[in-house]
Amino acid sequence: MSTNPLLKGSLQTIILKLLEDNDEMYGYEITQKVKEVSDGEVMLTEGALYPALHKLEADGFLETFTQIVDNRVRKYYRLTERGGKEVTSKLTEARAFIDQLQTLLNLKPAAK
Amino acid sequence: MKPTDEQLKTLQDYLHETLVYREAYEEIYDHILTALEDQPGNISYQDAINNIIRNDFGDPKNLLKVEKGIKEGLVNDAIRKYFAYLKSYFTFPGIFYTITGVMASYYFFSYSAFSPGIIFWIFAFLVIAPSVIWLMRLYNTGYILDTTRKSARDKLFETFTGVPIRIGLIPMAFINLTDYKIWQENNYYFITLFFVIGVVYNLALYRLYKDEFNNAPAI
Repeated sequence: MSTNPLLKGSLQTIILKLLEDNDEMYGYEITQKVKEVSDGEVMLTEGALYPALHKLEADGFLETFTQIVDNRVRKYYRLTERGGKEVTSKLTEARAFIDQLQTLLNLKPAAK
Repeated sequence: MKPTDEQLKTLQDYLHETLVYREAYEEIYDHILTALEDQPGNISYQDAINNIIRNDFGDPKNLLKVEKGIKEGLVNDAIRKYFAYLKSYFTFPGIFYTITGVMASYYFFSYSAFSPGIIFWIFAFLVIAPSVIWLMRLYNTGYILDTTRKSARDKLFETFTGVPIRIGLIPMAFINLTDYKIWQENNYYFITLFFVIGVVYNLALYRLYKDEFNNAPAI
């Protein structure tokens, strides 16, 4: 992933949001989508993607199914019902964090 | 970039040598081949593969770390599913089937004319049933998935198979094995309890086994 540690900590939120917007995706598709929406600024590397995907699956936020594509197995991920709720919660957390950071770093005046 | 059959074979051999579990192999193999389509045509096949492994997985050595993460995720997912299946027999609506099963089992054991020996063998079957599921899983791995490679879930299934043998054989071996007193009258509550626990344990394991092959098309 990008060397930005703030983004590293947000990998699960990014994956959940992408799957909310795209219904079902496979690993490489996720890396490409992240690259595309960030204009190439953020790249999922260092093998962070698959462990994060499987952690989300183990926590019950994602479910998987496989398809045969070009004579090989392709594993797709999609949100479970629980995962759908988790996206909302994670996005709320992310927004609150960004607001706090903006306030602390004086990037914008504190909301009254 | 479209690899030749020989290049594909080289990549498959490399990943088979590097990775232990088939789930990690399948996911990483698909990732590399999909990424290969986006690689520029003016570089060699070997350079393209190296680029993908370096950019997407950090380093060739990192593949093992990725595999470890994949394995942990799959095992945790299987444990979560197994306990969810178990829980489903004790929550609505499964609890009604369980209660019906408990009453039917009690009636079955208390009113049947089974000898203690037959009841003993019914319990022996419950203890051995996970091993049958384990064998079915091995067979289907070869038959449906067309592979004999290790799965990240193998160890977990072995544990689930071994638990009833360890727990079940101890009372069978040490508690009145010769005269089967434990299976005799006045013990019907005890027998029903253990029978229902055994059935629920096996049903949950069977559902876990089925889940693994539900979305696994043959190549």
